[in-house]
Amino acid sequence: MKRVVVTGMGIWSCIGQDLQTVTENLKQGRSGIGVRPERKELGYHSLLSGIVPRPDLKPLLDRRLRNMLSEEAEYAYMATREALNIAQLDENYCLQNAVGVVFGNDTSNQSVLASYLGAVGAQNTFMLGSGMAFQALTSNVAMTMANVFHLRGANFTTASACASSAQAIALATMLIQMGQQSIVLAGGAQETNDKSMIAFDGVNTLSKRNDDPLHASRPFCKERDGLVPSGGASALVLEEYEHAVARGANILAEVVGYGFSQNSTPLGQPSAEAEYEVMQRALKNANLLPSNIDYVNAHATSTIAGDIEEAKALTRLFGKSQIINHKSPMISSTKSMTGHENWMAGASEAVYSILMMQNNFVAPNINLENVIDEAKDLNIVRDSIYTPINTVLSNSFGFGGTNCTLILKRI
Amino acid sequence: MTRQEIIEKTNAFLVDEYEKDPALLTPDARFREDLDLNSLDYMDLMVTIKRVFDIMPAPAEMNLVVTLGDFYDFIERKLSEPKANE
Repeated sequence: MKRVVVTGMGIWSCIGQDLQTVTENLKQGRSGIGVRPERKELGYHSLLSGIVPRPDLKPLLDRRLRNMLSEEAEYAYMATREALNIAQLDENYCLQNAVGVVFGNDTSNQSVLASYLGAVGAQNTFMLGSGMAFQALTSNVAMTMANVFHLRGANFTTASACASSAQAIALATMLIQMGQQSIVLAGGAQETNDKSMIAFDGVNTLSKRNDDPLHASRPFCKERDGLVPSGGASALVLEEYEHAVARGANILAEVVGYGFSQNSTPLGQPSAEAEYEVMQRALKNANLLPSNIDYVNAHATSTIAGDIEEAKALTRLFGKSQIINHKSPMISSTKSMTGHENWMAGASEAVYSILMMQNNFVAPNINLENVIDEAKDLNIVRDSIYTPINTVLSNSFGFGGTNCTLILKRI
Repeated sequence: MTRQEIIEKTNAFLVDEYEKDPALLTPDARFREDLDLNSLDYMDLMVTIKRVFDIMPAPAEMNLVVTLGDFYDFIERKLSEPKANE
């Protein structure tokens, strides 16, 4: 089986819009969460959100290309630009080689709603202009990244709620392992506008700690009251190992395993059983044991039910005897700082994990005051730990019960 | 609206919104070949025409516009036609 490595990455998130800033904020445990007061009038109970700036693309892209980009594709453009730059893949390379793209994205709510309201308001669909037909598709990110950056190989969109972009990385890895592609851009994107997560507020999954945004996302903490929606985009250049070596690329990490599972619980209810299975499958795929894992980037979103089930699954996987002997991996949920980046989370948490491996630290699970009983035996990191980590397991569990685990290794 | 006003308003949005080089905006400039406006841009132009001139052209009418001079003529003619509700 061909080996797959990461040779570039980029991110546009609420804790930074470049890798250096994101690294520093992860080390310092800084939250990117703020308040969107205008949501109160829309009927939201939660006013919290990751605060993600919209990039100014006018100096970077011509009107026709900008016109095709949804909000989440704008973020993806910035992340992809950084990733391709680090991978040293310029326009000429992309034009002459078939680079693939797999992006995770599960909604384009703002574009869909703007199309409908725009047409109805004008009583004429011709008044929508040309961009909406593209922007309203969930495949908008993958298609526009391919169009803008000349990525002429395989092109897929993965949509599985919060597992979307972990699946994108897994699928991109498979394409390379199978010999279909030498290089694939894999990533995730998430809109942050007031249409994006309104239905999740409606099912009472969002935190209502509106007066204390910096402490609202508190995975594994007894006083948690829901997730904080967030977004942006992240992108990774995945490449076949020998190909990367031959062209002298800088190798950042290796994707050594992935696993998939699906809950058999009712929709919306997490399952410790399926979460245990997905981690087991990823370890088997990577030919590793639980004791080989140095750090777990937990899915833990700060929801009441979700964190309990993941804590049960982690405790079962790593075993009480290992935990008592202090062989349990360090665990943190970076969502404590970023909020839940949803469709982007699998890819962004891969980027966060690689940054930790590169810079020899484990980012903290901030806001953890009173740990839930189910997680009391886990080695959850409350303050940054400065130590080398070589192997990371990263969980992404989708709202519809679709689970994906990735395993990344320092190389 | 005078023809000169039509020219000024048209050239202004072609520069500001469509990012065209002012030096290219001559009456004989062809929309597709010289100004690089494609069929999707024509759909955007319809939105702009409605906003700037309060005219709702049909796509078929727009397809008859070949040069920038044709466009000025087209707008001038449409503005001189009585509106449906007048």
